Amino acid sequence: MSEVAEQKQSKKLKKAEFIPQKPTDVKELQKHLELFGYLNPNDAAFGAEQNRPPQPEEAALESLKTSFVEPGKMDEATVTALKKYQEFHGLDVTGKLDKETLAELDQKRCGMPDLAEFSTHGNKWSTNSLTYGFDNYTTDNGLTQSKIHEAIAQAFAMWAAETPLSFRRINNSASADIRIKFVSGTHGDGSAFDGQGGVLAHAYYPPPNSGSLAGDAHFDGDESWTINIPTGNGKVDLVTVAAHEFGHSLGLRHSNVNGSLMFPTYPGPKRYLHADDIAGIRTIYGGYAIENASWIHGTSIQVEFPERLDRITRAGFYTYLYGKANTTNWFHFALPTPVIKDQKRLKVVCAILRFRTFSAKAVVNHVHIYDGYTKIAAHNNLNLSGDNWFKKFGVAHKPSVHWGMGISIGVSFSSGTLNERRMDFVSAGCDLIN
Amino acid sequence: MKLFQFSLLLIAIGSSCTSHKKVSESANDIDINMIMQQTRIENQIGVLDFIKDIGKFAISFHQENTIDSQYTCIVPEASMIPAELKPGAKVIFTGLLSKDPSLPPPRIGGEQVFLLARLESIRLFINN
Repeated sequence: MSEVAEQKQSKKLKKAEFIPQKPTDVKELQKHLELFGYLNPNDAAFGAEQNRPPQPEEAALESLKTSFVEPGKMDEATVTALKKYQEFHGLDVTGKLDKETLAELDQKRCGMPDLAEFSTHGNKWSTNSLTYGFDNYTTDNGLTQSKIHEAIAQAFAMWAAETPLSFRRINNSASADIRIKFVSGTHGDGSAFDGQGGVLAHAYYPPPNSGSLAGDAHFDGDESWTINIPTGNGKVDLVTVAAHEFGHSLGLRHSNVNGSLMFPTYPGPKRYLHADDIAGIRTIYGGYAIENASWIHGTSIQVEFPERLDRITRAGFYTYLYGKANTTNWFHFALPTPVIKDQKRLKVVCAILRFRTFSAKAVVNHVHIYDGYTKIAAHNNLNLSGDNWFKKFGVAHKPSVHWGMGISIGVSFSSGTLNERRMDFVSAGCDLIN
Repeated sequence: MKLFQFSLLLIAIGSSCTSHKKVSESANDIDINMIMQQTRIENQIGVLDFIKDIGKFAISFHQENTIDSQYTCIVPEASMIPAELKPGAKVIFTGLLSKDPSLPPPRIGGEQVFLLARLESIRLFINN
């Protein structure tokens, strides 16, 4: 081997055996893991170690540490995310940036030099306050107008929670930015539907595009639409498909990231955004400027049906509880919410929950958001279990807050061991804008 | 069988698209889609419609297992479509697809636009 070749080989090996030590290198790794959906970027919002809230019951809270991301530090959350990445890519699960993992990451980087896998159309709305309206409705599977309104608002709320955009329903659909309708076969836009199966829906990119059709979303009337989970054989989840279509209405194309909402394949019900979807939509519209963020500890939770719990314990700033098998329960947070700042009424972007369940035997199905006694958003049939350390639940129309925020959480506990029916509520909060 | 083969081709093209950042659905972009300068399709089932904006017939067909990925084939001359076939008709057709810079850009999410450069056969599809 020539000297030059040896040097190259040595350099290659050095790179291949590279273990990140410098904070900037670890940050780079964390950036990769974020973009590929293995690390929740929002976890970093919980703060650096010195800014963490005190943990009075250190032993009990030990496992919660995996939720913290220290930017630039090879911490537990980063190692856990790296292990998930390795598992997904069929590598040895070491939690270390070994030669094989680095090669896999490098391969990804070569393909996508800017690291993004979403794709944008190029057009965008010139206003952040969008309206939508219904030309008609479907009555599939017992759907009513009010149920459809709630489902569509839930789909819009996913995008509202990450952007400056708001979506307000108006009665006169003809003057709405985004017109929604259920139609079969040819329906006047030159893109006929093909009957049951095949194309489920389609949506037009933002203006200037196709004149008045820009942004509109059409749902194939020959499909069997539902909002129930499980959907049942041959039925399609309206919320999931609507959220996907609205991604197009806002200017996103299909994503390459399997697991993202904008991935072309219908995954079955999926009622939340992937990190790639968030990165994509923020590329077009940016984020929102928080005016106030109100938080409350998990110990302040109110239980609707205490008799349906086997046990409930308040530990430090969080609450852990065990639901009785085959029960449902509701848990409530009342957030101390400022409503006026600088003589302006604040508006709500989203509610945020930090919680975990210990198995799929304890599942968060519903998150309802209130301003005083008025329900302003409903996220239904979510099927969330496991670690959810910074889960946002948007409010599509971002209304002004009048009386203060409340969050109600519907949880189902099925049969399993006591520990499988455990759930921790760590904190609840909301983002407010001006 | 040929239909199956074409489906595989489209899936392959779709897969290529999904692993390449610079892939665009715009008909005017120079990208991986240009590999498919001209492709013959046989016995493809699609839906006929008429795009008023450009005054052209189009036959669209769906990429399997997706929410809304579809191929829109613009028919350059109305006379290529038999008079008995009306918009909304499910058809089975054979012909040559090509990219053309004069094609309109995709209007809807998941759409890829091609020119139906040659239409060898088209008839109503009857699903028995």
